[in-house]
Amino acid sequence: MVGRRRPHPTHAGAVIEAPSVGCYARPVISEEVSAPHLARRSVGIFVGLSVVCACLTVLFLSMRAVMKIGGYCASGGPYEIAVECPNGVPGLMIGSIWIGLGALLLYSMSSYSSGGPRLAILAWPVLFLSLGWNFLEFGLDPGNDQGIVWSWIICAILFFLMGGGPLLLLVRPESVARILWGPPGPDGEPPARAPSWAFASGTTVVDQTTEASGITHATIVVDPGPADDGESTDATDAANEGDVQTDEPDEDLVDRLERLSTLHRRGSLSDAEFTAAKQALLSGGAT
Amino acid sequence: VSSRVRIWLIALNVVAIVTGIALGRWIFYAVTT
Repeated sequence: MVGRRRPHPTHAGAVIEAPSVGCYARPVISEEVSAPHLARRSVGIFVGLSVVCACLTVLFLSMRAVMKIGGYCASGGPYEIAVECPNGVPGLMIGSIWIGLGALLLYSMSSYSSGGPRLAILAWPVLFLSLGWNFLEFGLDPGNDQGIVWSWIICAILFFLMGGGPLLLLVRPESVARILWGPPGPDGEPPARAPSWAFASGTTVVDQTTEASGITHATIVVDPGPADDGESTDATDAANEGDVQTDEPDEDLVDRLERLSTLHRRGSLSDAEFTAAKQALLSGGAT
Repeated sequence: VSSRVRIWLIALNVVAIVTGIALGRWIFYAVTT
């Protein structure tokens, strides 16, 4: 039997997408994410990532400035200095490291909570590969007719190994999706299904497609209102017919509420969506 | 996330990277010269 899905008067059209990699699904509010939330995260992403890139660039250029004068220098202090550092370079190197770490923290928090690409993991390879390139370039041609500086070549190899190691994790496309767009779902969550609270009452899986990228989207329409004419909803019908996989019967209602609350705190659910889903869960879980 | 939000986030990251590199170069040359 196929029932008629009736949109709730106050929450009609709230769409939740459950992107997944492989066979797991995790609910993420898509375009209905509140604009202020997305705006805040966007500011954090832009400021954090741009400052991180600025610091990496400053560090890269500062290292080249030092290597151009032989690879070592000093500045300040009571001792006689053999090679004075270029103007401002010591402060730039120290400042770029600490400011860059702070900006990386800001970017990580913003990108993880927004569900956006998580490029923070690439900071390590970018840092070591760029500095390793400096070692390689100046090791092959230090610029003072010394010939090859093997100690710098060894440093270059070590830096390339350190920076390139994490990139091996990105060889497989599935790994790229997992690393850049987040883990597939909570630990132990059964494969390819909507969140448990989605089936509490009147919530319906209306579509499930697999894109060429291998990312599965299970689109869920939150429809907490019961049908006025007494007809059963799609979710009820589907559950009765076994078309959808319902939650484990022994799962505690409190766990579902906690998960829902977690999504709300993370900003994945707006206040209205949280209230609707909570009501749907309570009405379904009370029976 | 939805495709529109995803595209927005990717574009934002690209713009931030380009801006950061330009900012870093400007800071370095402004301080050292």
